[in-house]
Amino acid sequence: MSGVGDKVKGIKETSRRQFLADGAKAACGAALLGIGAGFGASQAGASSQVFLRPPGAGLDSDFLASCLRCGQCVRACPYDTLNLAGLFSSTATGTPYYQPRKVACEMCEDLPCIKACPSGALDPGLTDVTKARMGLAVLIDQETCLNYLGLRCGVCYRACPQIDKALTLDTQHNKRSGKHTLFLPKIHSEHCTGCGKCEQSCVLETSAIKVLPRALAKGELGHHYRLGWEEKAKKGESLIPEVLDLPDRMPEFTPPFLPEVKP
Amino acid sequence: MKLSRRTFIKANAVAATAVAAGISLPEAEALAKEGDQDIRWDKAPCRFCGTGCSVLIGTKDGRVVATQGDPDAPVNRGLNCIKGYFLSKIMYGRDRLKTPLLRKKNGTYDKEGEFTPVSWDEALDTMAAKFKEAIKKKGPTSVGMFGSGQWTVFEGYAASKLFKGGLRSNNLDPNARHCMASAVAAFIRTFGSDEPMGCYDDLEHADGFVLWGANMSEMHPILWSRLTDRRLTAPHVKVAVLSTFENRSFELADLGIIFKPQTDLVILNYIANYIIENGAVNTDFVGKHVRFKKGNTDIGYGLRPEDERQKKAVNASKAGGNVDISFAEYKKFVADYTLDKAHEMTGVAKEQLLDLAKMYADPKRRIVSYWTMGFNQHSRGTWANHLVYNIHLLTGKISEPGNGPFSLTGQPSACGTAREVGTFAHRLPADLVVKKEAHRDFTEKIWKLPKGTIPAKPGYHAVLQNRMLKDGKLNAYWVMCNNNVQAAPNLNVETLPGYRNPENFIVVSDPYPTVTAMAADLILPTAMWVEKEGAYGNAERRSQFWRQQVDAPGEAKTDLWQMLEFAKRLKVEEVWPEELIAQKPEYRGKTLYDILYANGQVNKYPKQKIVDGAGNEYRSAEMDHFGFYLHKGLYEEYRIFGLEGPKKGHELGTFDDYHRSRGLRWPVVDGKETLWRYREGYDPHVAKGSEVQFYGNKDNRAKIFALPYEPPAESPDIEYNLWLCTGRVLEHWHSGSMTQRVPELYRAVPHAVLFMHPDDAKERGLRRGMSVKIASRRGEVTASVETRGRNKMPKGMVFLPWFDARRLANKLILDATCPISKETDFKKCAVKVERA
Amino acid sequence: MNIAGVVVQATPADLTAVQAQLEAMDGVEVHGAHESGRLVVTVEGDGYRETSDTVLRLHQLQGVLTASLVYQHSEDIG
Repeated sequence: MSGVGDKVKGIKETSRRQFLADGAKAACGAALLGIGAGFGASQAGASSQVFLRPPGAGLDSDFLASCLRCGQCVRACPYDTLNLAGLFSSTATGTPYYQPRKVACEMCEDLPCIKACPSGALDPGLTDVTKARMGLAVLIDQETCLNYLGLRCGVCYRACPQIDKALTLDTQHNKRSGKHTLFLPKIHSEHCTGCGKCEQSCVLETSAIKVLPRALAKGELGHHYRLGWEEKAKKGESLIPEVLDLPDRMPEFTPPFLPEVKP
Repeated sequence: MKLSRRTFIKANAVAATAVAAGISLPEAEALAKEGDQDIRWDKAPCRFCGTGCSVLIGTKDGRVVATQGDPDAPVNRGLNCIKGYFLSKIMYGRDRLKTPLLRKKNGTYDKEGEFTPVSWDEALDTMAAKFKEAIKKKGPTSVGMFGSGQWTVFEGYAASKLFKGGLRSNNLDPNARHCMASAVAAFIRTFGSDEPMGCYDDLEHADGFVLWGANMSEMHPILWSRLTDRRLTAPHVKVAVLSTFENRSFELADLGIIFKPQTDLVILNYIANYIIENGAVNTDFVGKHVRFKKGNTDIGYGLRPEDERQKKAVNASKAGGNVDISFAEYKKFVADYTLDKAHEMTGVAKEQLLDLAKMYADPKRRIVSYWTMGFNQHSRGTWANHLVYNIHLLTGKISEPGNGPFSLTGQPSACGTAREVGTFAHRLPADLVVKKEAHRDFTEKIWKLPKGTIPAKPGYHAVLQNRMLKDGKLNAYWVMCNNNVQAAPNLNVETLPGYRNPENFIVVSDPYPTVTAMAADLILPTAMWVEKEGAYGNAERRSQFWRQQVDAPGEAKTDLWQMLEFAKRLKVEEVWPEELIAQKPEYRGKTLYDILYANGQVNKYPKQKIVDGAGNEYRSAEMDHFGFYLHKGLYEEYRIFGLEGPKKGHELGTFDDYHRSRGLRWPVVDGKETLWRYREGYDPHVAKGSEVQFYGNKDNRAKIFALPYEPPAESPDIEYNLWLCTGRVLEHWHSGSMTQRVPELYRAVPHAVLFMHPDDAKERGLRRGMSVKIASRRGEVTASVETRGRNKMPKGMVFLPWFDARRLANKLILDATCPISKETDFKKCAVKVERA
Repeated sequence: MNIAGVVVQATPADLTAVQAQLEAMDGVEVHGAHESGRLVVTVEGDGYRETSDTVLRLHQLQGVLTASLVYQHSEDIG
């Protein structure tokens, strides 16, 4: 573990109080430094209890059982995304994790973290990083999301490496302004890797979009129900053909400026 | 109770902490709430793009503490894009310049010295001495200024007077030259008057929108949101998006067209041909309101005269030349642009070309064409603008709700200041030009200057200014409100050498130490945005005013203060020849300040209280300093040009009216705004019974120009085998000097990355995220490769944003311009990309 | 100017002693305390380093279990 010692926020003194102070220095110091330009206030909230694992980690229970706590993946990460959990962390000490608000996963095409893993805890069968499922982005707060408020932000959308697949913008008429559009971020779980670029880039003081472990984030439809429009698209036509439809009776005169209607 | 700012913040801290601790401290909560009530709210336009969204600014204890979109503003109805959301932070970057800095060695000015804090007196005295020395040695053409479409109307007007009327140099050009010049040239040549005929209300009236080289989704986010709303709420509406790569606007497109660079000229001519061939010409309209012209061809690329491409061009010196032709001749000219030929040259599918042509040809479909840099930054930019007017004129789809060509602007006052005030090297206020004697006479009369003060020859335009600095012909130079060393093309070869030329003295006024400021000899710290009173004019001819909300930090001063204090240091005898002074002997011994600003007109309005509708009082730093209401005086003098000048249709409202309104669209006549120009009933200048009058031209007709496709100045070859396009991203504005200082926007997009097709990357052994060297014949930069993300590149083309001061993208760009508009083509040159 | 709002959690038995220690520190003010051991504290300073160091010193006080930064504001002010 000595090789990664420089990345682990080390315990310099033996006293527990000093250790806690160092931890606080990491948390508070970072919060204070991170404010940047001297304007405005920020809530330096309690740190998230959510831990995201490197690509290929699979279910947390399986991962914890096979991870050797060797830190090789942390060392291999070229972007300093991965960290090792410390002694008093609420996840297993020595296991790798990342917090996307700080540094998101850059989704390296050559997956150096998996290549470095000696135990197979990070699945060597995962070779396409877009198939990685580290977590699932969730637009957790629609009340503060600027796009929901009608502003033209969309920073998370454009930051998404799987733009237009994992993250799309649904459009909706802005009833309040009467002449603008709401561009609503929508996450598609079949493409979202959970890299966290969206959470990292969110311009709010506290991100409105967050990546959660998939088990926490994903709803599940009732097994009995099918989505009619998807079933129709799958089949290419209505599931019940030969339904009679009579033409509507219209006046013979057509007004000159009748707009052309799209089918 | 009056709270100090410290008490208020502490109250907020206590209230927030108490909530987190689960402890109730009602006193602190009450205190925090009361603090919020003390915020004074007033309006101002956003200072980024040309859309002109209005924001409300919350000020407390001399500091902007909050902003919100103005819910009653007609443009944005309370909405902002992400840059507008962070507007209040742009003034509070940690490295704001607060004192003048002069390069010095051993206590005296030295071109090779270190930046040293100096007093304003020393700064301005040194500067005045350098300008006088240059004029004495080489005459007024050796001094110049590079201004801005972010200047307020007052600043642009004061600069125009200072240089054209005072220093007698037309070497005044705005950075809008890089942005809007092609639109300006074609508006003037076609309609005899600058700026669009329509307005944003077209967005709710049109049945179709065509975007020609405009990524509105990212560059005009709020207008895009309106366009999208029209598309969603009226399903028959069609949107066509044309570009050389797939950008965010394609998301909404019914028709998304990727064409080979420069071949937009072919598509435009093909559409005109289709309209004629298919009997879709509005013959009544064309017969009454249009005439035909053929423009000179083979006009070169605005390069240095010794460049081979320039020498070869037959009409390089007569780029704007043209002759009258008939409709039949025009018809024959465009007949060449068949569907087959268009498909072959552009690489666009025939069905797509047909669909687009049909959109324009359909008489029932009202259509608005939008464009920005794709057309304007084009080695045939003026032509591209003409060709889209041709289509609207042939079909008569112009100057009425939902129909018209509309050039979007990239800067908040490209229209209001750069164009309307006339801060271009060839222009004077209200569509007047220096070339015409009658226009100079009128200007000299209003400015109370002797005949012959304003030179007749247009000055150096943006690109030429840099060349002349390098060649040592322009020696005293003032850059204000822009970052041209980062923006200009070919900067290592053609820009920086001029700044560092030992013969030259370069002054840069800026709030921040930009790349340009660091290349200067004297840096003047400048007030920005609401630290001064201002007025901007947006793309739909809407002029919006604001009051000074806060004071500038440290010793930073406004651009106006700087220009007027500089003028105080120049005596008429030091800058004018004796024969000119002899015409106005009363000016003997006076300073340029006395004759230009304390001229009985500009200083006509005494000190007064500035009060808003709610009774709040505001300061004007200039009023306090100069002893009169400078802004009102400058504006009311400028307004005479629109009311009494030789070109009609530029009437503006009164100073006080603008301060009361949320902006008014000119011409403002009889207390009414004008939404559609040139159309009877909408435009007060159009005679009854005439339907349409393009009254900018004497015969009231607009001109259709026959203009062909001509190739770009530089195309990819075996070595430099990729097209490069530079541009913007939504999160950052222009050179990033403001938005990169907002931590949240920096985090959102910290670096410029090179967008590239995955196959192009693979062929070069590159992977996403790898650092690469992008090289042109003019220089190289490094950036990391992005093969996914917001822009989808076709093979053979890469895109690099230019906001990132660590990778100066535009150094790769060739300084080729449209020979008519002198605007650089930033959208195409040849580069190679290899592993760094 | 930097102002931070911090929730200090003391062992309930040491509450009074901790409060006294806090009040003796430069730039630190106690605005409220609860018998459960929680205190509402602000820390003021001129630079963010100074404020940051003071916040960190809170952790070291005898009787303090944790100190959590809740609110932070910084700006240049005359």
